[in-house]
Amino acid sequence: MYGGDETNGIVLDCGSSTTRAGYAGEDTPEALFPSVTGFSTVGSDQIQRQDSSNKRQKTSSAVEPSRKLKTGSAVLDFRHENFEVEPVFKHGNYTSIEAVEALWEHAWRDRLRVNIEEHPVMMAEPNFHPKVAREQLLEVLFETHKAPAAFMAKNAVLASYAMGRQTSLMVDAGHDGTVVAAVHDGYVLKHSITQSCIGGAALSQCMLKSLEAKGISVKPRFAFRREDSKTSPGQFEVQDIGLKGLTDSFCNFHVEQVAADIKESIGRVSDLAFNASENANIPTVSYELPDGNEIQVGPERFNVPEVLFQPALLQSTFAGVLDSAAANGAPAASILDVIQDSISRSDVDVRRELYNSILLTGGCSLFATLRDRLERELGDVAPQTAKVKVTSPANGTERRFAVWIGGSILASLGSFQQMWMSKKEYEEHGAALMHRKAP
Amino acid sequence: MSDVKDILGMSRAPDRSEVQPKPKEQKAKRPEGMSREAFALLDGSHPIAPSSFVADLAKKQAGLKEKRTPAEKRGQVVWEMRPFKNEARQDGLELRHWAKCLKDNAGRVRLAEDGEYPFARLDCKPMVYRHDDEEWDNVIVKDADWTREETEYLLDLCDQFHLRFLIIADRYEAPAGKTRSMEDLKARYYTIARQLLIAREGGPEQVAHQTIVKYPFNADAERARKRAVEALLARSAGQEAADQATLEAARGIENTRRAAAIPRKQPPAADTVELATPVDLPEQPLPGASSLLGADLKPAQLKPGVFSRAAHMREVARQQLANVPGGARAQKQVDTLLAELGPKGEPVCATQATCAAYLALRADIVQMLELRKRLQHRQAAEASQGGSEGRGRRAHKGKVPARYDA
Repeated sequence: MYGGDETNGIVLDCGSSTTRAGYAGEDTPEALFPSVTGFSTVGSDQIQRQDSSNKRQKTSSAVEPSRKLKTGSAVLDFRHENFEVEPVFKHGNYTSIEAVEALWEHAWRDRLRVNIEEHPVMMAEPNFHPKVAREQLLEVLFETHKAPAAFMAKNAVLASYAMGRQTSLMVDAGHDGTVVAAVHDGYVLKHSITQSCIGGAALSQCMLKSLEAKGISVKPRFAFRREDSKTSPGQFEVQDIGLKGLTDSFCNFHVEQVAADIKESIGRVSDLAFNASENANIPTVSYELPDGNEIQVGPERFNVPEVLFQPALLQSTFAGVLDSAAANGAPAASILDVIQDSISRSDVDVRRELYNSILLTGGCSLFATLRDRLERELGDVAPQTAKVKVTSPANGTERRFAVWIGGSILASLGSFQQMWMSKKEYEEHGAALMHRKAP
Repeated sequence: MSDVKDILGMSRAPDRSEVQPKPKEQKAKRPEGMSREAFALLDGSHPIAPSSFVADLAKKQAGLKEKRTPAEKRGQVVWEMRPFKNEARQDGLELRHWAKCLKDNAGRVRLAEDGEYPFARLDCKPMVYRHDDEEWDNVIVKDADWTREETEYLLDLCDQFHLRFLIIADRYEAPAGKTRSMEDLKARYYTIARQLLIAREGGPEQVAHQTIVKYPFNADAERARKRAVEALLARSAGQEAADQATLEAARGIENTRRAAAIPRKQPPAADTVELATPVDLPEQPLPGASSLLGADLKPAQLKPGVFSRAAHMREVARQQLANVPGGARAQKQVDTLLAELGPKGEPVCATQATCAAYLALRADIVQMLELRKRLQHRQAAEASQGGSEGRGRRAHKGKVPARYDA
């Protein structure tokens, strides 16, 4: 039943912070790049570029040039003037089909370098993907890219498979927000899906705000140049280049990347409820910004991840963060409330089992002490008869890419090979067949 | 039995037409090379899967028995990326996978194992009872709440989700827009299944042993049970603690009751045991005299103070022992005799009567020993004096002469 049979499927997971792509059967994705697309605001469609990634140039109408979406590190990681950057995943869903297509093409053509006509495609989708959006994606996949077979599986199910469970409560602490869904026997229980807008994006913005409040300005990497100082050898001199010609979205994207790095490297979840005013004299940790500036971070280390447990901080200390964060539209709820809400919406019989098998994945779960704190606090508020157990993969890579790994496992199972939706079936029955095949 | 047949006039030959051959149950055979315990773990629902596993077993077995065809005859093993057919699919999609092939000397490549795709037989579904038009008209009892479309939608979902009602209830979006609880859906499905099963088998008697017929689904009981489970989960920590405390108290009471019920070893009642006290010991101590006895078994003359009866008794007993002429050997004799005759050790309860009796017993023992010793001396003296009434071979061989008999 669990024998493997690899048919060279491609597993695609377009997440809210990064897109993962790779071959089914492997244990990590080959391609990893941010889930953002950019387009040039200066009339670039008229300018012919020798960009090999532009084979399929959209024929622009004479009146309005359609914008070409580009993605990938070659485009994003250097100073690119007049370039607007947009996240593909906003408010819990994909912004547009073109954006998702741009991600796909970058993954297949530039990174994996495969001809998608020869490989079945396993796609991971959000737990609450509307049917219309699903059908649109399938149409593009089969008609434009001519994939031989495809399957769309929900994030929660794949992450659950990655951890070897068919029934679990999947807590995905991601970039966009925290999504909790109950998985039973390999199917997501739709009524149990609950979200909170507090995720990696919100936490990065909180970190940025607390730094700005201390007077530290975080500059994007391309806004300055560090050169060997002529006056004092062995030292670096920082020359400010300025942000002329750069769009706000581009600058904000890079500043947020720096803030995210600060949050990831020195942020920690405290073992008990953290109060910033009581612990103001906590020993600080130093962090070196890209421009050489060394900053001391004290209570913010714990205060920022504390937002996961105390959303009230978003009104007091970090007011205004949610407006700028690229978070989903859900209310700000603590992670405990979201979990309990989700469980209370499931059937009574299965609740005890859900409490016993809570799986924690996602980028925010990489905070080392999050799992322990969550298990302890949940054990206090959960019913007495239910034993609370929170499991998380030990490996950081597995936590981040649990969804992709689950897709890799599923697509390479022998007993899965009968479940693909083939191009022929699409032509016969239409895209709506996917709702039957992959409910 | 045979004479019954005679009476009825039937022939004695066994009637073959009545005996229907029972369909022999196919027992799965354990592949050789697989241990008995491992095979016992598999049951019918887990067929031994991919062909590579079975091939490995065959290879291992063949290797042991040296029956393998040599490599030159079979061909060299190469792996090729080949398209394959999956029998479980209806659309004829051919995906490609690595397949083991054999290349013989002429360069012809063929598949090592040919046969159906080993994972195809894992596509099994539970049976869902569906009605057709005729059965809808005749068999199914019409329910005002359920239209035909809705019933068919429910059966479609049952098919799709393999009768997992938790998920069916979660994804149920009725065409009419009614919200149905899981119990409603289950009740409707099981009613239909029951009616169909009974109708198809011909009558309720034939299928009376089947679970669906024997235990009809009880929606109210399910609802009540779920309410109870919900109440159980909703209990707070305080309630739980109070309950535990009550249970602990109950357990304690249970334990004490049980302990009280065990017949405890009662000390013998005072009136059932005769304490052999000498006649001249006073039952009640005279006023003014202490009830403690001295070594001479008379009320002891003690200085004013508090005395423990048991301790005093031991003291007196020791004095008695010390007074015994003859030293340690005599004392040991007293002890052994006391152990033989009397109770084990000192009296359990040191009352006046028991202590007096104990001391009197000891005094008697001492006295008896003394008398015995004197007797032995007298006998020895008698014997050495010269024989009494007659010497002879059998004179007084340790026997008391008749005249000294009492």
